Amino acid sequence: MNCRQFEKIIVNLTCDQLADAAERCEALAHAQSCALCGARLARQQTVAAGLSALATQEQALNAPVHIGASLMAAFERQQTSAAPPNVLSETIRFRLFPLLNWRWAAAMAAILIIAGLAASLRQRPIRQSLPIQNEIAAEVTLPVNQSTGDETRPAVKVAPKPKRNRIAQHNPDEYGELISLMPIAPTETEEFQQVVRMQIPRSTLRLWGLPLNEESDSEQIIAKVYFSEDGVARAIRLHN
Amino acid sequence: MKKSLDHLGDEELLRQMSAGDSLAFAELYRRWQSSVYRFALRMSGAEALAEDVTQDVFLTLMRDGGQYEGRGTFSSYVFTITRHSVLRRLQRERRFISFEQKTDVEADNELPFEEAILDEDPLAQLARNEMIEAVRQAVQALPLHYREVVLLCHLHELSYAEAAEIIGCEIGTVCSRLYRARALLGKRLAALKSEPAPQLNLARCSI
Repeated sequence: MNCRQFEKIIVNLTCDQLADAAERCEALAHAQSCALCGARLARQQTVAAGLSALATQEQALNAPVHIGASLMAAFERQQTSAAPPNVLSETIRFRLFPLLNWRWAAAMAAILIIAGLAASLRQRPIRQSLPIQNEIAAEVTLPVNQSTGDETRPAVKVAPKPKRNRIAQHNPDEYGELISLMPIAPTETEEFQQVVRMQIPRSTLRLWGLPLNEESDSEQIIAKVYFSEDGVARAIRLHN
Repeated sequence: MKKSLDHLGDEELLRQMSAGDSLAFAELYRRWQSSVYRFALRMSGAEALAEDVTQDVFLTLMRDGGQYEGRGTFSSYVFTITRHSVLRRLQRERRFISFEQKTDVEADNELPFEEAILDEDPLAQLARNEMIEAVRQAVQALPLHYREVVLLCHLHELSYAEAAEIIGCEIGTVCSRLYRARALLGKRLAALKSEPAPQLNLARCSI
């Protein structure tokens, strides 16, 4: 055996994967006679032993316990809510979607609502309740066109400036107290551009930073969301 | 009475998990979490990334496990998902771990590695741990395409065919990468051994 032939089989030789016993003996004999190949073999045996020891030591290495707990909780939630498995615990959700905080959620909700409003105003008279669907159905209190009182025409086309809604206009018995979604709490008399009645899963409230029991995440609730002029959700009232 | 799932194969567990059996999911997680986490950890060198990858992999199994068609081994399936997740995250975070490359030294200076391993003396045990750490660092310092074949074939004991399936290349490519990787590891370990400072001096300690 020459050095080139030895080089071809050296990996199998060190891993004890050389099936041919005669070839193995020949290779070992060559390693003893050739200093260079002997050094190569010693080096490869060192690597093989090191990798084996490393593999043995790392057998005991496990993923942190909290990952298993989070995944189990996510699996259970997936089964109970029949939702896609991206409904995760707080930790997982914010790792996967770091930008998904309450501001983004509020902005997205506002965009969806405004788009829905624009579409509905083209076809429906004002103050018409939208049927409540499963998740994002909304009954929207639209701006009232007082100048003409014409309910068959869209308000946005007739009214130069819509009247703003006040919180006081709503029956306080049906809904709970006003909960601020902003760092500065709104006052009872503060004016809002839009008030939207929404049926939403409780987990959405978590996105707005409201403390909730995780077990009730999948429940649907009715709430009124108060939006300011810039389309940002300012406050919320939960239905009693 | 708690039912035992030990006798079930991974494919069957995956099927039951897709049908909503949480015990099957727990068993599958118990069996595979360590392999997934270790592979991700050694590929990336970052614990946080390895944790995220572990979550990714099992979330993918939750979501797409029902689509597993049984082509190839289950270990290939899991490691393929893991590898893709690691590479995607490494690319996104540009968190490639770079190590200082050492100069090569003559192989004649090497000490027989097995001698320290076989000795049960506490000092030898310490030396053994240091050497394992040296091997770990040497593996981590390999280029990514060499590192992954070493991890798959040596640390996770997959066959060359399985490694080729996971990486998406020919078996010959796996063999050649493995050969070059081992050559690099040999040089790296020889270089580490030649460094006087981090070496454990048994003679001095025994006084």
